[in-house]
Amino acid sequence: MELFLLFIIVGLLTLGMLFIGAILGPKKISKVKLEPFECGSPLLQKEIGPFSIKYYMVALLFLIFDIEVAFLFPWALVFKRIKLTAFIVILAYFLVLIVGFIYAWKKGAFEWEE
Amino acid sequence: MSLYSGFIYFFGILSIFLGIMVITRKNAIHSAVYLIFCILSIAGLFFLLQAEFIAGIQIIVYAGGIMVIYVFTILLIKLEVVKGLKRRWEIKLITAIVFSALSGEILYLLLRKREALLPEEYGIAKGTVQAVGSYLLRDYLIPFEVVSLLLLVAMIGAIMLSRKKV
Amino acid sequence: MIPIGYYLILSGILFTLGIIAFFIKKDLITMFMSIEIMLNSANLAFIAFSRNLLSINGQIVVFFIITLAAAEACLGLAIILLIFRQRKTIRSEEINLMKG
Repeated sequence: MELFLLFIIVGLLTLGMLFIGAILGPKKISKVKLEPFECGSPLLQKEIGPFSIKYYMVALLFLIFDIEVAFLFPWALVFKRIKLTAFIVILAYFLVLIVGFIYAWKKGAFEWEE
Repeated sequence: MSLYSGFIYFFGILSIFLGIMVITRKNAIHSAVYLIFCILSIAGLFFLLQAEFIAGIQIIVYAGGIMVIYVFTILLIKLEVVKGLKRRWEIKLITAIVFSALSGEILYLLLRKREALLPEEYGIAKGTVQAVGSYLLRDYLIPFEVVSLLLLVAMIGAIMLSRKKV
Repeated sequence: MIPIGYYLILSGILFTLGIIAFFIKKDLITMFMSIEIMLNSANLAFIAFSRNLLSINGQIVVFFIITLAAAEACLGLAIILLIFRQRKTIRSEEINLMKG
């Protein structure tokens, strides 16, 4: 309960300080202030430009491998208890996914230069 | 009100607020960022419901993987702010019907089925990584293998669809 | 302790928000995001029941749903990007190729 009270008090304090700062502080907005900060040097480009589709395929493959690895965490913790079954299961799991990996490799998804 | 209930109410109200922000923003990248925080607050609810592993997976895969793909796509498309373009009246009618049906259901649950709202005694069913793993490798062996097929299909499809030359 | 009805109400509210967004939004990406909201609300109901019934099974179903969402986002967004590159628009009302 005391901890909950602490959260409430700190939250209200933060909101109050932000509010007071917004009311009392001087507001001078100039064009230079609104620009994104790039270490003091002049801006290199105005906005986020279109970038290559190569990054996109890397992101998609990252997502697939991410969820694939997420399935390994619960498997790894029960591996000690059911050794053979767990090994066969993960072997079949990776056998299917290796096919996709080889496909991605053959299609040149991991090659950068073009 | 204990600390536990306080946090649950906090995350629940926060997720509703962030969901409303997601569907009312005009700019798609703003709604993507609000959706990331909505997912994180739902992950907080999962954690409080003792589904610790699922909460971690929600943060790693949903907030860290899926939403990154969304932001990537929005940046690649350079989405303009969509405005104007009146909806047809049939779609408005369907929206109104679905909205009233779903909110009517919620109101019914709130007003009539009071017994569903009574607190119940909870035991301990902690969703630790170990518990999830032992269930996964005992009762869900076939789905576990089918998941690899699903991921294979997704991988091949992603490579096919996002090659440089269409 | 919070009764399970509250979680179901929260899940219903989130699902309703997702349905509304799916119908009133005009670009494909935001419609996809509303599907994510709906999936999350279903996940919340699963986890609440899993806690209430003292069973892990609901959490494993949620794990599979998250996998499904990852695969769906991967393929769906690749398709949306393909549509954009071929037709230069992602407004749902201007994509009427399937009408014949």
